[in-house]
Amino acid sequence: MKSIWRWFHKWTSPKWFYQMSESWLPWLTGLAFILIPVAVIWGLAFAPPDYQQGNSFRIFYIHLPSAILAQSVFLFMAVAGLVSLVWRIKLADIFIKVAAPFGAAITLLALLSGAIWGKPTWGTWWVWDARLTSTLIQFFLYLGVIAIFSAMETVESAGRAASLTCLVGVVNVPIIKFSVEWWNTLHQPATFSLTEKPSMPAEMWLPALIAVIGFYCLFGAVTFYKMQSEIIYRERRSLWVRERFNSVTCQIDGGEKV
Amino acid sequence: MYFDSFSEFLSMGNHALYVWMSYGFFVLILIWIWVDARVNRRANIKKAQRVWARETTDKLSNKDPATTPEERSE
Repeated sequence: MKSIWRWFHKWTSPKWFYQMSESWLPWLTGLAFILIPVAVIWGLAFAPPDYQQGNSFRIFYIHLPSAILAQSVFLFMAVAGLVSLVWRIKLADIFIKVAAPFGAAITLLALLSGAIWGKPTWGTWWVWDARLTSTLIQFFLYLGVIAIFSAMETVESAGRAASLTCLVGVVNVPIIKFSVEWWNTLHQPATFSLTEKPSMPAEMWLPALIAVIGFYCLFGAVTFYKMQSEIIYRERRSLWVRERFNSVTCQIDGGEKV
Repeated sequence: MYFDSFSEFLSMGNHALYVWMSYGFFVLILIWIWVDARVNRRANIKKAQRVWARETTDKLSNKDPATTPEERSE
């Protein structure tokens, strides 16, 4: 237990996080660069079409992963919000700040791909039903968190307000998840569950699974990269940042180098 | 390969508009994510370097390290 805490504590140090994320970044980026194209090409050209929907089913391979991330990214943000409020950990605030735009982009993709898929399948781009409306609310929640960071004057109060918003807003995630069961909706129920075998053949669900893993890797890579960028500015008083990024290192400043 | 020819692949069984439009949005959003991350990195480094440069000139002219409004707010 003690070692777990020590491990957790290490991750809260910006310097340690920066170094750690640096060794993870090439792997996450590489995986995303391999998995996403493989899933897209497989889904577009090799997977069989749906017997009812035909080739419009291929939208599934970007709709499913983006919809999954639209929910889970906010879940991560809520966990970070809790960590930030309870332990006052700066990195948790930074995570929320950089994850929000990614979440907004991926939720927009889920909405757009869903609307486009809805047209040939349901005959309409949009209906105000539970699943679609709650996902739209999720998109606005992401925009709200982004707005908090750009509107608040100090980083600390922005972090606190954003953390609270994430903790309150996370109630929308189970609403999205169970909306297809609680209300009558045009949207089909969950395609996959952890406990049951998928109802479609492997050559159809395997590319979707690869796409989901690829999207998570992309999220990890972008998040680590943007968190590093935030750390560079916020830790500008630390010697390690300065030595690394100050291209015009001035020796007059030597007084600080002990 | 599911399709018999490349033109069949492009036409997506009369669903070309829907399939290619959604994948088009996908590519646009990926590009935005990439550009945003790069611009953000450069902006943060520039911001930090401006602070360092100012501190150095202040030290040279024996002034108190000046702080800008944006710095004071942190």
